[in-house]
Amino acid sequence: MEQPRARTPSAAALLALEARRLLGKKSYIVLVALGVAAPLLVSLLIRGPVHKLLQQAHLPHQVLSTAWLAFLGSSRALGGLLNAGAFSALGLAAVSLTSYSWIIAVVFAALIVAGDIVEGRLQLLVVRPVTRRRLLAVKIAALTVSLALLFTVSAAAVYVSATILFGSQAKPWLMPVYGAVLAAALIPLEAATMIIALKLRRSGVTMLLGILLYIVGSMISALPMVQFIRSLGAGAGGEAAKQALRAMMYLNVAEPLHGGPNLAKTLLDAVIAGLHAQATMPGFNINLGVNYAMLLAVGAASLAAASLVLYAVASLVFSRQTL
Amino acid sequence: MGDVVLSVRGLVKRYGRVYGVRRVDLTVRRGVHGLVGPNGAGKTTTMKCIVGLAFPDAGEAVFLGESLWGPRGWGLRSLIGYVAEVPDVSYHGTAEELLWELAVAEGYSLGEARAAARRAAEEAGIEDLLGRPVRGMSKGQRKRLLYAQAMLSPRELYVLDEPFSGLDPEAVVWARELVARLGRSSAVLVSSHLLRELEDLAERVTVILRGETVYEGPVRELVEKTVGVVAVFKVSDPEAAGRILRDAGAARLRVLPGAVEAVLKSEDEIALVVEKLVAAGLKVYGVEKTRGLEEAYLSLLGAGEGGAGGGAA
Repeated sequence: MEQPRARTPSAAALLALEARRLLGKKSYIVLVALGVAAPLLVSLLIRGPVHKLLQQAHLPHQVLSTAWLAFLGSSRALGGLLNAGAFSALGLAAVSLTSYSWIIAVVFAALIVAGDIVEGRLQLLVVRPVTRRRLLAVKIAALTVSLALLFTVSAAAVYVSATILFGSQAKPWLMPVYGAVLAAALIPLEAATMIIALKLRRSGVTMLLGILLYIVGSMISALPMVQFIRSLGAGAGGEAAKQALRAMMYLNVAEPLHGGPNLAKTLLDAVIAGLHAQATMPGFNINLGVNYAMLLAVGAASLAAASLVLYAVASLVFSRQTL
Repeated sequence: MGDVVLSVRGLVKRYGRVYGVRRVDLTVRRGVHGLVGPNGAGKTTTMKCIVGLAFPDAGEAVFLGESLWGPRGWGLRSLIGYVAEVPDVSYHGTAEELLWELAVAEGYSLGEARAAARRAAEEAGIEDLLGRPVRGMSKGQRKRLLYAQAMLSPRELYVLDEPFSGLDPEAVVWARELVARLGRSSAVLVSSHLLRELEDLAERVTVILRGETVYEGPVRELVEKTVGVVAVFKVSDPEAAGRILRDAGAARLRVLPGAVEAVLKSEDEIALVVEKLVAAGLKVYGVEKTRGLEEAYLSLLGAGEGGAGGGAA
């Protein structure tokens, strides 16, 4: 008979375990199918009219070759002729799954923690030779890998769709880079959602509160707009208004709960326009003295710091919890 | 002390202002060790602290000479198997998938984990249920699944919380034999309200009342200390046997058809009484010991004035 001996799992084995579990979820498979099918279907449906319009517009191919990045939310794509807002209005960006990245992140973060507790799986995992801190880290890593894959596939579908509509597209290497950055930038929101999931142990309520967190983050990012309007109202204009807009621009990428998707879009803009190009704010044709390199650096630093802090808080909550 | 597998000293666990456990001391040796107490006394909380489902507020646990609640204690958990009282598992997937996942989390390679899952399922008698979705399983089948996950690896200690609850009579027989078998090579800590089952299995017992250990030691010693040994002598002349037992100092005599029941001070007295009965010319057809642990437990419970519940801090 085999003698008892202490074993511990490797981080890679645990990561494979959690990622496999996530990738096998029906909801994940449905999202992948939707992320591929929706843009392709829409592009096939509107291919004829779009081709006619393009013949009349005589746009250079160089401009059209960045159309797929507009689908993903870049305001600098298509030579800035159509910004992300306009594309959303046409319903093209809306068919890209990446537009809903934050909701997807909240839903899966709730499922892999609260769902696991409800299923009794987490209770069976924590009695194994693995620390809760490591288990949580593995869950976040597996979620990031799975979302990066989902967003990359979705970006690839967008790339193919844009090729069908606008001809060959540039910078295909951005697909996995964008997917990975978007997934990584959502870690603070996921970690915050996981804290709620650990406390409430119910997926549905956790998802609602996670969505609320994002909305609150969004509102915080918009706070400088109050200052902007007040400065205009007071006739201050000039530098005070610019400062408010600048603050809003930074908060848009650096606010931890809501900035993730914006950081990924800023990366696309930076790739198109160049790292040292002046960042623009849709609707405002003002030079704010902020370039993409600065925005990316501040956004990345803020989201990385928030990821670490929120992970530490989630670990603390988890480590004291009776299951 | 050489066969001590787990030693818990001064365990305290609070849930907010309420004590789950006030002070539990526990020494588990190889063999089967019973953990008894009324509902809410702290048995499940104690077990959860041992296996890592709950974190103690105070106390220390030494498992195989190493600190179980210290910074490296988690690494010892592959040597502990745990079966929860309620098979609250509604896993999305098959039994085989769940066992495979848990084997990987226990340190098996992805390939070895498949074999470990099959082996554990065979030991738990659920090999034909491996392909079944866990959600579609009955309560009894899920309880067996819990047994299977506890046996994914050979263990030094098994922690079984009410191992017979939720099982049908046939499965109870199976579980009883399994506990006895596991107890021959490992330490098995069993909490159960079925004291007659436990009395047959456990050599030692810990009694917890109101979150505190009130007794720990051999089952036999507890029974003898509190109520004595209740024995039924099947004899040819119960009336005559009754007189002999009274003269021998036995208490609470009861003459039954073809037998006489008496409470003796210790098990050693049984042999002496049998000798006297035989010497008096009576035929002794058999001797049965009954209700020892149950009576002893109820006696302790009476002394502890109910004993249930943790109480506020």
